[in-house]
Amino acid sequence: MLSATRRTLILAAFASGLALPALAFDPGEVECIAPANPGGGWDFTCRQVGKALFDLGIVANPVRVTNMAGGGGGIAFAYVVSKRNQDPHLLVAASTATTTRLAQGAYVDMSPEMVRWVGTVGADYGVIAVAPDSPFTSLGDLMQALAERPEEVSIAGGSAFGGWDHLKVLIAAKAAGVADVTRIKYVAYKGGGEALTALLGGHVQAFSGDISEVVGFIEAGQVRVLAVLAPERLPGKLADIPTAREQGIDAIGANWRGFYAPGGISEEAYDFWVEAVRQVYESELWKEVMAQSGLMPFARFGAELERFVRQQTADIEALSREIGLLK
Amino acid sequence: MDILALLGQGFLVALSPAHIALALLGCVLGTLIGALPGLGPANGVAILIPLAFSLGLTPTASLILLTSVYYGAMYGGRISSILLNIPGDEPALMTTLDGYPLARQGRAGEALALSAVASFIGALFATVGLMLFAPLLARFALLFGPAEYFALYGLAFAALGGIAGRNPAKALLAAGLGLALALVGYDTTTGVPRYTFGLMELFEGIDFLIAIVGLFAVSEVLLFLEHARGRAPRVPALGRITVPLRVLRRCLPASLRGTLLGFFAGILPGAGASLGSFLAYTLEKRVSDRTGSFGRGDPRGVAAPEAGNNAAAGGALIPMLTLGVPGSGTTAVLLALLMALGITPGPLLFAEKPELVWGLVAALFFANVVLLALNLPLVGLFVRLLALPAWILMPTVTLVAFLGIYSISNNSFDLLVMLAFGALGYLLRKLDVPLVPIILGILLGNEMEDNLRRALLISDGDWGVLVQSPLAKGLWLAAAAALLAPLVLGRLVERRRRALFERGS
Amino acid sequence: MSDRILGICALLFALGFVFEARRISAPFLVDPLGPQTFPMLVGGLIGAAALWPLVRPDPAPAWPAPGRIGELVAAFAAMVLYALALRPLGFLLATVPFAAFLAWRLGGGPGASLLFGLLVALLLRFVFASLLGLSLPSGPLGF
Repeated sequence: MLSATRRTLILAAFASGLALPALAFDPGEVECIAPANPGGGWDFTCRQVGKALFDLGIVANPVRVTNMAGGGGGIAFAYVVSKRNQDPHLLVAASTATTTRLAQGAYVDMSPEMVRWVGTVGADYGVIAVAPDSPFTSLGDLMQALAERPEEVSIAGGSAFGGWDHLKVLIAAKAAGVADVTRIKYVAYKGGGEALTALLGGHVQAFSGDISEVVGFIEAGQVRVLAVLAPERLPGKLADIPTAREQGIDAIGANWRGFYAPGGISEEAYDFWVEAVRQVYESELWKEVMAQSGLMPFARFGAELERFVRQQTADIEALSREIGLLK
Repeated sequence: MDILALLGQGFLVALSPAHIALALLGCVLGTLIGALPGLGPANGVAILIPLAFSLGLTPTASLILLTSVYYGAMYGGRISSILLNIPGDEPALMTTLDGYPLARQGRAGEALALSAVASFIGALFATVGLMLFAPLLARFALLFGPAEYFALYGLAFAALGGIAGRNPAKALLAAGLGLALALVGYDTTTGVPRYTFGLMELFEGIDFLIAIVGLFAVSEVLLFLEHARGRAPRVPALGRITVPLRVLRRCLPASLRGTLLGFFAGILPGAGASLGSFLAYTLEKRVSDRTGSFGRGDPRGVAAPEAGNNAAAGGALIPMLTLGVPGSGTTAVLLALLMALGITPGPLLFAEKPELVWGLVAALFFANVVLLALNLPLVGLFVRLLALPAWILMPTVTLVAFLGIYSISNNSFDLLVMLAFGALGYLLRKLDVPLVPIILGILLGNEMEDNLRRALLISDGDWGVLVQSPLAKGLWLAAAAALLAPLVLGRLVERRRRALFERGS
Repeated sequence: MSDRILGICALLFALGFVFEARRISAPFLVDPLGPQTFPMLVGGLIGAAALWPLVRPDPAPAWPAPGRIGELVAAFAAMVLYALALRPLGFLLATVPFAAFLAWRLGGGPGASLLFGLLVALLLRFVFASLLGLSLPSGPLGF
């Protein structure tokens, strides 16, 4: 960890009003907080981007990753806001799960404006899938059933009620004009794998998850993906999967991965990190990582991401209110 | 023939010098991690994932390293169970029941050697099973829907009577307490927080690891402090580190039964090695305990759960590799590693990446032989670590427990929770309340509730769904049998036990 | 007597648990059972199991002598202090006195205990921070 004396010196330099140009900001010894146990998605984001930042020469020292599990990311969020608000050498991994929980008030007394949203490094797009022998052959079929006889269709997903996998179903259902989304039977599992197993075993009729979770199953012919919730068709061998949009249902579900920084850092530091994450995202090195890990293109940086996060939290808040999760 | 050809290719992959070195390193690190109380296999593997990344290993190499750690930790978990009555990890819990009494009788070396052999048998057969049945058993696992899982967990709790100790009511109390603790945190089904009192630290529930380290390691230190001055050095003399052939022969059936049970428990997603060793011990006690010798140092009470938990470790790899569904905490971490390496486990993995799958299988065979070799002659080395004077060992154990927990979340709240569990564990142990049901409750409570509610959600509230399928019916019948058997046979057994006790004393 | 106290504590816990379960709020229409039912069943189970030690207690265990209890409380307090001090003081500064104190109370000589505290702190720091790459708290002096 950066010694306190040194940190004070740097802070003093900022405080004394030395106008440092964006590129003159010294990232120093950088820490990336993964708000989960080693091995999860946030941990992956921190480690891979941290490695890329160093390998690309954007930062001079290797990035140190700290795992801070708890509260679905809320522990780390509250810690950054209360203890590290001015620290310009800190990035925190975030994703749609972060905005979902912020929107639903799961981070007690916290809100998206308390931190600076830096940039994204890709996304995993939502899918809605059924068993190969299912009577549903298009997203429209499924949505019609959800509207007319919701008691007969159970949809499994890897998040809790009101979590991202559930919200994707609701987003699609609303876009398809299903009048009462509260009657949709969503069966919550602890992870996408468990939910898929329930689909394969015939215990539920449909599955809501992310594309990375079903790739292997598509190739084995064990699931049929009705729609991917992406703006356009995915590249490569996934190009056969129709989007929801081309089936007349305008629903997008992007589980993005990216970073936020403490809210109290200087504009110079913020601009530096926005630029740094953009450089990583646009590098050849990162394209390889994305190809290897199944991440899809999703680029929002700086002010654009801040706007996006505001919009996303507002949307999720409205949906959560509608299903009674927020009062 | 086909499988043998594939396995041959696998050995070509696994026996490259780099992979051999990694497997060796993994075995040693794993045994060490498993032996240290509080650092179980899941933690060990999780901690080493960054290492695999920073060494820039290929997916196959990373997987070989970390599964060797995994197998090694399963072996190592028994060392502190037997010598210190502190399970190194949750599946090694059952080994304390008879292993520790054996150690106190001066047969520690024998217990260690026996457990190494039983572990070898369990892991060997499970690896063969993994190789033969992986595709087949994936289909079997699919039969388990919510109702069947609920029945399975019902069976696990019904079987608790087998290790209830002297007072069944206290076992029931302990199980209830475990279930209650499991309910803390977000409710999976509705996403509402329960019993969190607005503390964000509790929203994800109580980490199983924190509970187990507190209940066992911290309470052990407190119990030790209570007697600190008066007691002789704690690590019992090893005796010979060999098993008499007679004992080995007597334990072979136990090991095989444990292997079979553990293997199948391991395959069931979510059940894992803890259930494997638990069922193996309970069954063995039911089958073989005619004189009430279990719990007082019966070698079969060591062989069965050790074979069981190592077999379960192998079995748990099957759903992880074929379905991407982890069968235990550790395989969940391994799964995360695979995904991070850009490999999607699933039915296609065997067809698409044969070098990875079969290389892994071959590496497991190799690691298993290495571990047996490491553990028979070298176990003394690992033990010497524990034979230090108490004033060195106990504070070190305490510190490792603290740091292991601290490294999960980097905050002191978890440490305080661990200490609270330590105090609770101390009081309950003084009052003769068994700790195992608490652990089982914490481990299975969530899944049990979730599956009950999933079943009822899908059936629109029709409770009949719980006993609809033949599989569910069978599981409930087994549960009823497990529950009623002690009631019917209990008196008989108790009379015998009392007769034995009176003769003995 | 000890078992009766256990029974009373467990009964109170069960009551509190069921009382809390009733206060869990749920979104409308999720599942037939809801988030309250299972906790209530568990509370009932604990309550029922608590009656047994109340009615038919086992003989009391041998509790430690008052001096020993003091020893236990002191050690436990040290652990709590350590948990709280680890972050603000940093790993070394918190660990050395804590490890030395425990070693001393467990029968190590004062000098040996202090030396042990220093050595074990350095060793663990090496293993956890250097070998395993985990981050340990660094405290105001940077170590």
